[in-house]
Amino acid sequence: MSELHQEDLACNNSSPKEYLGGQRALLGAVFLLALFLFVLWGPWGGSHDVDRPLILIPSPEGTLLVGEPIQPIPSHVSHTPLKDALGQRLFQDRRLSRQGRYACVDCHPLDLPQTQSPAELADAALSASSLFNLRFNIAYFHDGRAKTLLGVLNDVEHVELAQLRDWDQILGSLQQSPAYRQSFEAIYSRQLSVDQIQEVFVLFLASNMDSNNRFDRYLLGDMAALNKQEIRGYRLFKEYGCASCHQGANVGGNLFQVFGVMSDYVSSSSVGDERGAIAQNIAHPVFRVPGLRRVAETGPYFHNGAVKSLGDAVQLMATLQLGRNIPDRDVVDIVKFLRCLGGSTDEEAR
Amino acid sequence: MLRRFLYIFSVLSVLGLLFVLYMETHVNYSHSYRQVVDTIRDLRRAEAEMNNDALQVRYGFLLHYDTLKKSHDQLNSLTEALMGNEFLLIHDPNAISSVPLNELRRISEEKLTLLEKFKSHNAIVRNSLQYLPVLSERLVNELINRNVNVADVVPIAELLGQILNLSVTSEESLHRDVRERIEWLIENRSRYPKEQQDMLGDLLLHSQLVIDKKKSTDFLLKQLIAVSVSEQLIDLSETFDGLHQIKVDEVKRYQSSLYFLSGLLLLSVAYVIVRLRHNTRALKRSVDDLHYQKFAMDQHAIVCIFDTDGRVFYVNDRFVAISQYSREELLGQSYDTITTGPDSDVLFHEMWTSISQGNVWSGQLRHRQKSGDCSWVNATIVPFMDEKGRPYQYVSISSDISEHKLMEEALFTEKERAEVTLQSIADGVITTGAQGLVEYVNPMAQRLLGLSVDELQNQPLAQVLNVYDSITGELIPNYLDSSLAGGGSTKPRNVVLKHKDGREYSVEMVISPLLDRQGKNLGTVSVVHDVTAMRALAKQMSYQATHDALTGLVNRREFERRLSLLLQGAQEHKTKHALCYLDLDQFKVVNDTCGHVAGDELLRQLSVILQGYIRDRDTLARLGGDEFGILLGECPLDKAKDIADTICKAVNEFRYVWEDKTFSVGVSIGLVEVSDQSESVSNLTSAADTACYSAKDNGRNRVHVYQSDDAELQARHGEMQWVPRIEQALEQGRFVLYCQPILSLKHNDESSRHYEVLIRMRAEDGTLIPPGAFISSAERYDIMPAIDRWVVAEALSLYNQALQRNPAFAGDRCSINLSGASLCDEKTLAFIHQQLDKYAIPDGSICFEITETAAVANLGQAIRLINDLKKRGCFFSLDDFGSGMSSFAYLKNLPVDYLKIDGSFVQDIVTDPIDFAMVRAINEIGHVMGLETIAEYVSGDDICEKLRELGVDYGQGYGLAFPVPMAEYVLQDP
Repeated sequence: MSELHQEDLACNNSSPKEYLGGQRALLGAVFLLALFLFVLWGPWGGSHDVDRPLILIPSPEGTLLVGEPIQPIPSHVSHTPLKDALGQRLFQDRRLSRQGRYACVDCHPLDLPQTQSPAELADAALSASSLFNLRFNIAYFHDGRAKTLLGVLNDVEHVELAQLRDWDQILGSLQQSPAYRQSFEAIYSRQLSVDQIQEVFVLFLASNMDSNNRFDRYLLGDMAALNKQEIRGYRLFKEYGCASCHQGANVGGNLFQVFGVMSDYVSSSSVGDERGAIAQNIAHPVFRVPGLRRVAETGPYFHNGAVKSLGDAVQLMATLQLGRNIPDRDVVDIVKFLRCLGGSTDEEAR
Repeated sequence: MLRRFLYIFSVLSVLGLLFVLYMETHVNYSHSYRQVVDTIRDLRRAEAEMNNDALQVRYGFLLHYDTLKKSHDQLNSLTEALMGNEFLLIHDPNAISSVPLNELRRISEEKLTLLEKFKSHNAIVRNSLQYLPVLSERLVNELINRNVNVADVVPIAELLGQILNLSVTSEESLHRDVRERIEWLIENRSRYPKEQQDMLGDLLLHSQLVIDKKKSTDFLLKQLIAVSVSEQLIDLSETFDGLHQIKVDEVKRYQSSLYFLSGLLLLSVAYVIVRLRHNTRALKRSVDDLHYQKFAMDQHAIVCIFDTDGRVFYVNDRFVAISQYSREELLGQSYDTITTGPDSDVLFHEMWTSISQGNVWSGQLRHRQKSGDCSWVNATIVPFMDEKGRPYQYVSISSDISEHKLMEEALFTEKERAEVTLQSIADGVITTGAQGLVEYVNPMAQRLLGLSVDELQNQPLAQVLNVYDSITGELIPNYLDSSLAGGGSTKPRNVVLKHKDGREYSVEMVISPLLDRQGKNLGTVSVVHDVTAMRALAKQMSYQATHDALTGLVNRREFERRLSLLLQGAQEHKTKHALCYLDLDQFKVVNDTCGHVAGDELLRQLSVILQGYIRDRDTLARLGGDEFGILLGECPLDKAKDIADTICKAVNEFRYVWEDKTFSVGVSIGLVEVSDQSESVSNLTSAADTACYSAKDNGRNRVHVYQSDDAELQARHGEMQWVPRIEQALEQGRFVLYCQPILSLKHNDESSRHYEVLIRMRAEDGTLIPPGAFISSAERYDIMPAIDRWVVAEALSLYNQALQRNPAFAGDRCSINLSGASLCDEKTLAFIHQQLDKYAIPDGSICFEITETAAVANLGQAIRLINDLKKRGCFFSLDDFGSGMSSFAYLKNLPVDYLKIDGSFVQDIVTDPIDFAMVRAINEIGHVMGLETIAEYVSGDDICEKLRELGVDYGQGYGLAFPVPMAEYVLQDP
């Protein structure tokens, strides 16, 4: 107070303007108020960023084969690459299982060099699904009991089978890891939570697409992408009626079908196993039609992994579902075609 | 602080209210509203798309189910979105929309189920339809190859056609036909070769499948389309519209209040701005005013601000100027060191105690100056208080009162001086206030009144100072009033005031009003001057002025005044009066021989005697020396002559005895008649004087009556006329020296001449006037020294001329008369010396004659002169010895060489034995004392004989030689 007065007094020639500081401050306040009102009333609608995990890119230029039952896997760009990567890390993390023995990738191989499933899980792993192109699936598991990917994660049967920890435990273990904590906080700027873990997991699974393989290129007009045998296999695939169910981008996966349209599959020697069947209608057990992308590397086949050979599986399917016998020569061609539907083996085959 | 908080709080709350209103109306609502609208629209579209896709699938335009899945997913997600819509969640508290929403979801699920079944059945139908032609063709071919009856083959071929037909239509008849045909074929299965029966079975199986599944597929498709969300959507839309309308109304209300509030806010802001501008202007004005006031204060006052520790942190220019320090030197100094007081410690303690308690302190301080001097200021220190009522700084505002102080001191000195003066002066001074109450009394006034200050102070002056008229003896009241009323000074005349003890003082008073600059009366100053002594003195003075101190008789002035009165009376009333002029004879002898005291006593006694011969109403005056005057009022001349004679006789008979001596005195009286013929007082006195002179001339001790017929002649002898004539004669050199030889009576020695220089005045008409006519006048009017100087100069000049012509004249002895006045005149003595030097007169050539009366009157001077000139070789003779009746004792003291025996003795020596005895006595005494004697008035041989007989040494007179002009005498050859 005293200093203030001193300054006032020391400044003998101070003009009265000095005393108008208060007014200036008030004008500032009025300006701020106007700005506030402008923001309030301004031409800004509420824009809500709808979280779309993927942007599907339209097909590149070229002649798309029209009227094909099978559609190419669209190219895509993830909106959430960091979260996807984090989900992939979790996918490979053994902390998710009890005693930390297994990681998801052990049973659900990605493009990585295939690891052998642990012995204890060998049985279960027999029927472990390929986890590519999950977006095109209508439901998950063979019996389609999970409608969403989150449902998959929380599926009791699967949890038991894979000996997964419950979410709180997983959260606890992740919280102990500074690396995870940092990564999560970098993305969410919040404390690590179960929701976040689930989200990155789901995002990773949804973004795990296997696009731009040979058959896709063929569909997009690259006639040289397939050899003649394979093209013939594709034609046979369509002609025999396989494509009635195995259609769409995922070559199946988007409908349920009675297993054993022509004959009872239970009575069939090779797949006569009741495990995994949906007791929806025991007379006409209905399964989710599996997608055939990367089918060559997802054997053994069927819900119980009873059939090892792809050719046998084709034969079996023709008998049970189509009520037809396919000559071996055709089976070979069809298998050749099926090998084009993606996967490392397909690339090697070239 | 609380106000500030409230202010901020209210502003924030208004802003918050605005924000809440805004959120109510804008953000949440509009967005969710749009979302709902969009979602409903999308739902319709998604359903339509799904139906479309399903139809496309059914009719083979679409070979995969991805789009179906996609549209169903969309339907699903839209339904979910609608159910999770914020707007509905928030603004539908009564869950009006939940029924259609749940229905929507149910329908969606139902549609999904239908869709799944449709997809499954459709796939089977398509497979069978795809396979049937191949199978049928192969079977028909084999049957033909086996040569089966064509009739049996045709149904199979027709079946294919029918089924294919059926696949695109849904005619019930066709369906029935196909079913009948299949049943027919199953019944007639055995009609075909065994090898082809399996194939036929397959065919029939697939056909059966197609028929069954085709029907259910169509049914499913119909149901799928039939089970529509649109109905629910309409419900939902209506529900929503209702909610929307409510919301819209609500929002409108919010909006209007928002607008209102915003408007209010803007208005208040505008008001605040206007007020602020106004306040700013007012503030600026007051700031300007303050600046001017500060400027004004800085022009007048010495301002300094210091903090609670006494540190000065602000001084104005006047402060700097008066302190002579620079501002930098002053700032940071302690106020106590910059200033100082008469008694610093006590003063500052008192000051700090006062101001630190928040009181204003005023007092006189001194500011130190760089030069070491101090300047006086009248300082007022005002503390500045903070909110807690504690002073945080002090402002000292002071004005320079150094000049004041100086003035004060000067004033004090002046006052002191005035007071001391008033204390000391011999006048009484009393001041009163405007009410006439005494304020100040000086000691003299106290003494005059005999009252102390306490008795006087605050008393009405008129009560304590009683003033009486000295003439009437009455009390003068209200003498103060005119001065109090603002009039000028008043001087009551002839007043007397009474002392406490009853004594009376004659006083002179001056009462003056005291006025301020506006002329308003402040009181009075009375000065009382005690003139008691002065009045007595004045009385005495007036007595003395008119009376003779010695005799108590009227003096000459008063005499003349009375004479003029008489003259006036004579002229007016034709009365006749007489004027006597008395001159004592032989008075000088008494005076000279017995001293003044004796003379004075003689005069006193004579005056008493004279008084006895005149009437009371007559005036006897002593006119000076031994002269008296008598005025005889209404007295004829003859009567006056009698009185004068009587007086003359009485005086003559009077014997004055002094110690062991007895003197007789005579008086010569001149008598003049005062009548209407008399011209003036001076004429009268002159006439009386002349008459008296005549009386003296006529032998003294007699009365001479003035005759108007010889007035002309007499007047010429009047002394009054002589003075200018003498002076004129001196100027014009109209004096002539005669000389009368003094001859030895014992032997005729012609070798050396001895003569007395005599003076004659040559009148304007050339006649010579003897000295007797003018000498007495010259003596009276003090012209004698000048005449003597002329005589000496002329005589010495002539003597020198004679000496130059004939050195034999060196033995001549020239006697020159010196008057009594010259004896005392240093100038004349110096002149004589100078003349003697000038002519280098030989020793013994000059003899100065001094009359006995002159020598006796100025005995000390005479002795000194004689001794002085005797050193220059001059001789002295004592002239007229005997006439003054002087004591022989004088002779002892006077170192003269000759004794000239008075002529009055000598002329009657032959007849009067007394005179003879006198001459003899004088001659003998002279001889005894070693003096040579000279007899005057030797008019004849008989006298000469007598003188020779007596042994007188020299003789002088007509009988021996007449006076001759000196120039002729001294120059003639022997």
